[in-house]
Amino acid sequence: MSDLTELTVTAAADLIARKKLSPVELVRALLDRIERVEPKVLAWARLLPEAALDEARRLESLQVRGELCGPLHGIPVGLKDIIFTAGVETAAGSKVLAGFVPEYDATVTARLKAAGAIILGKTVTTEFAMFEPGPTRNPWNPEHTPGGSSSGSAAAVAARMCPAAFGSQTAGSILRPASFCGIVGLKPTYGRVSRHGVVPVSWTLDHVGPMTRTVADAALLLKVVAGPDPNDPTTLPVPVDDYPAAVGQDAAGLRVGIPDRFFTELADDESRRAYEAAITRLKELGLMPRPVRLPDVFEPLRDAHRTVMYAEAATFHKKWFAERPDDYRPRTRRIIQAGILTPAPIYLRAQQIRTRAVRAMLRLFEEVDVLVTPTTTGPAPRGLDWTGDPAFNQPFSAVGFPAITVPAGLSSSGLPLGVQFVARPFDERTLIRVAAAFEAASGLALKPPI
Amino acid sequence: MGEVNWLEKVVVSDEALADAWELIKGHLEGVEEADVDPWVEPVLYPNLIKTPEAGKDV
Repeated sequence: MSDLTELTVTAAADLIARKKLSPVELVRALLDRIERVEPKVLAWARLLPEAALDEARRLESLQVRGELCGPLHGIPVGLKDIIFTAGVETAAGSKVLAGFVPEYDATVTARLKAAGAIILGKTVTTEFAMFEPGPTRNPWNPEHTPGGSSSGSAAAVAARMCPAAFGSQTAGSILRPASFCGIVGLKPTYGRVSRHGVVPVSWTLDHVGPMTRTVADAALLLKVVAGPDPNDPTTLPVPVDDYPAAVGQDAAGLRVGIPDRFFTELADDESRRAYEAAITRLKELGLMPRPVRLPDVFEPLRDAHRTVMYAEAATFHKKWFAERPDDYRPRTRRIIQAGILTPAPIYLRAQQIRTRAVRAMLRLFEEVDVLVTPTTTGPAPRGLDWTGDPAFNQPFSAVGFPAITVPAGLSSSGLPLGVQFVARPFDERTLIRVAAAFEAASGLALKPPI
Repeated sequence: MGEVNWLEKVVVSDEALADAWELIKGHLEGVEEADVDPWVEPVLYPNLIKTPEAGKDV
């Protein structure tokens, strides 16, 4: 392999397991790439080159003895800067938490380390994973947003600065940046992956998930971090499937729901065309697309999502905000104040709407195995002042169903477009099976011109 | 906001409150108008989703 930065997680892990690649070589190659590319992308809030190399040397010595820690032995990953890393600053893109050094790892961090992963650094997030952007640029065109809030994770993976990273999603913060940067992003079911040690936006909406260049890599990382956690009581003791085994399985015969409205109405022409081409490809693969009627509660769900998100964000930030309002940027301040103004009966009614929507969507999934939609309304917008519209991802964050984005092509302006698949709760296996089949059939190998 | 003292504690100006209200009011109205019966719809919190496996230890 001439360019180690092109290796996927799965390929690198295989080479390391067979002693054909040293974790030290891999980390050095990525650090060299970061040195060249990072000044143009600004994906990292904090790099950990010395710690990463030290850990790579330790893992190399184990590798030589044939002792592998786990399926990610020697694999460097980036972590969104809201995910706790013991002894390493976790500032959440904010002034308020600048200098905050957690004393413990998030459960996700701990599980990655236990599987042999190397933490290469902390990636840029919008302020407190809300709407005030960080400095990160889209590797496909630096004049365009990479999306957010997991901006740095998406840009770093797309720009080959690391093979994988973790992000979080409250509205569209994993799938949207992944789509804008031309990579895969997976938001698991609510309750599938622990949020312990992750700075919250909204505790009934937040999800943590992997961002990678292939579906197989997302499946592998999900398997490592999924499962119940006594430190996060919202995680459920549902068995963790062998997600990587779903990659390569024939998806023919699975029923694919095509929503009757909303998505095609809001998508721009190019996104719609890419979406229609994706449906054609699914048919060619033997899947069975069929129209489905979204439940009536789908539209109020947007209002319910925003109501819950703002109220819960205000609850989390109220004390700091009272003490240090000027340390919050304007859009974050506005959200917190909006949450403060939200009456309790409306907040609870919003949660009732979500419950209604969950039930309605479960009924819809009696007719189909997955839904397919465009991931975003269009490619990454020009400008770095906002991170784009999460409208197509937000409904599935609100109901907590698993979703994945897979690259579906390039726009005429040379920016990536994605297609989103959604499955039943805890059926990530089917989600991955369909996404991997689509990925293989599309044959896309997107690489930004950087 | 009159006697609601805890709002004063979060030191928001009238102008900022008005701005925040602009952001949220449409959503609050949307929630208020949704066709959901508050008598019968439960709030499954904190786990929005329950599955048959969820009650079992595995």
